[in-house]
Amino acid sequence: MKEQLTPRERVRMALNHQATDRVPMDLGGTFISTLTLGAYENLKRYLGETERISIDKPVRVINKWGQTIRPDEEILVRLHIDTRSIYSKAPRRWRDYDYQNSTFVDEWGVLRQRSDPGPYFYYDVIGNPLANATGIEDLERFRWPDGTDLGRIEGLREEAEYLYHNTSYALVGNLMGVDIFEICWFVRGFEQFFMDLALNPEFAHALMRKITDIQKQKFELYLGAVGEFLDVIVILDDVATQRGLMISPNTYKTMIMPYHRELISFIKERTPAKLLFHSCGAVVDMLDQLIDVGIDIIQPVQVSALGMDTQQLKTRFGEKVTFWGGVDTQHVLSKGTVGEVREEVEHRISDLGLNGGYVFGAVHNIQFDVPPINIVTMYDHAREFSLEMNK
Amino acid sequence: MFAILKGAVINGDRQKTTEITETLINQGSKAMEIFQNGLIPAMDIVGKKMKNNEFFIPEVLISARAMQGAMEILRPLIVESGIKPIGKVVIGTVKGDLHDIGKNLVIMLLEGAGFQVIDLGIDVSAENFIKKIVEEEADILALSAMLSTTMQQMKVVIQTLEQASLRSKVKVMIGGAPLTKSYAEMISADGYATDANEAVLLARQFIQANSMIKELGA
Repeated sequence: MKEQLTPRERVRMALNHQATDRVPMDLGGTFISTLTLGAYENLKRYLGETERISIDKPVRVINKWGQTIRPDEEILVRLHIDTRSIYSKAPRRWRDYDYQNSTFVDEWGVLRQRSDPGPYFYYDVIGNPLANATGIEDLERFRWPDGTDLGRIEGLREEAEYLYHNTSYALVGNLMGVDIFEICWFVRGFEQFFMDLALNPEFAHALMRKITDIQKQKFELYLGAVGEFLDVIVILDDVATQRGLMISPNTYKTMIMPYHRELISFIKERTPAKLLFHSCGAVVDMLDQLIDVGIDIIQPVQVSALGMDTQQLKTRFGEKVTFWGGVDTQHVLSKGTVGEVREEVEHRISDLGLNGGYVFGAVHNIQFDVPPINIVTMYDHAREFSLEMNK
Repeated sequence: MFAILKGAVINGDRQKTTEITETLINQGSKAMEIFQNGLIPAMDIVGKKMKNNEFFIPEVLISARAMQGAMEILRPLIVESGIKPIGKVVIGTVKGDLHDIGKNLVIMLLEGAGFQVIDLGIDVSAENFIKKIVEEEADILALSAMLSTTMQQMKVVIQTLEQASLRSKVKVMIGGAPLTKSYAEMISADGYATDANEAVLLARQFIQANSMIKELGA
């Protein structure tokens, strides 16, 4: 059994809702479909021991607070991954300030701390720079990140051009830190911002306006450098939790949707790439609106969340949106047997993979408690099963 | 008037809530009356709407905020009148865990239901939980955790209670994203709640059970 399409052809066709030789597969293509440091170290060790794949290079961490990494080429080739990412770099004029007790401040002024001194946990938000803001004047006085910092795109054009002309992988654009809604919670405080939405909509709008303007500046530079080479461009903004939406569809429509629409239009004017939208949780009740606002792909398809039945999702939305992700990380990958992983793989590919419209991967980043054998089984079986299915 | 008060809380109108509360007090209503006929039914409805996906996070938070406005007026009056709360709860997020949004929602609904809640915040050691339970003679200990790693601390807290011969003095309930009923059973907690609404129901059950036991002279 062998592939007939190149990875780029496979991903493009799937995103255009056409059947392919096998399901396209992603690992590390986006910053929310990769592995955390701990999971990656375990995987490397495992492949080193079982298949003598040896990687001597230092691990590349792409996101400090989530401790996520960029997988090495050897691993991606071994697992037959179809996507490769173009990650933005750090801005020149900002370095995250590290304090004692595993604490740091990021470019938005948000204070984060790791509760466990070990390397395998997220840094949680513990301080919000605009928590005490009382009005729009405070937004004017605030020290915002510089959206025009060229450090973010240093060397990226060359990187994208090289991958575009010299490889046949599908290229995914990952500009870090471009959320809008989420950044509002981080800078203002989660409870405070959700109350702002209800009690002080003018302030909430002013905050989102400011953030949107900065994100547009970042995208202007980033897409100016690499937009023409991309197959997928990623944006992120959580709107749901495990059990439901965080805000009503109406609140989304009046408060957040205008900014998403504006950002997505702005992006699509600058790249032919398909728009991947990340939101964790039970997003099913928001999908119509998200499709309306211009998303082409919904990720991660958190199957453990309420109402996220992959068969129903495909039936209702399969023609209008591509699903990206789908393999359960909360239960199956972390605690399941190898047999259960195979079953999960077959379940999701069967539910989501008909006539394209599906890119296979784990729901969200693979955490350190996922046994490496489960990761390898997941991708190997997906390849085998879907090649067989499409023969 | 109670109906209007109820409406003001449900709509998250803190100003109206406090105004009506003041008016009712001035007209001679008892604090406990206002609390039980106006505020508790309001938070009950908020809890139900949350469960039915009618109310989302903003709506629940502003209702709780409105209720807190009324509580600031009523709490000192209730204490003055000598009326006891339905029960006393010590609550906190366990050691190593910094998450508290869910816990804070539980506190609001518990207070709305008539409980006195002592919030120890986040990253609370077993020793600090125990100290507070003893100091306050609490009926219920409520533990919150958001990580599958920190939830192990809940076992430690229960063991520490046992070692101090205090386990039978307090009902322990647990909640948080990684928790399950079977985990609660495994660590011999008295109960597990999937959301803030259930937490209130569970707390009420505990108090009822306690008073039944007292009545039977056990």
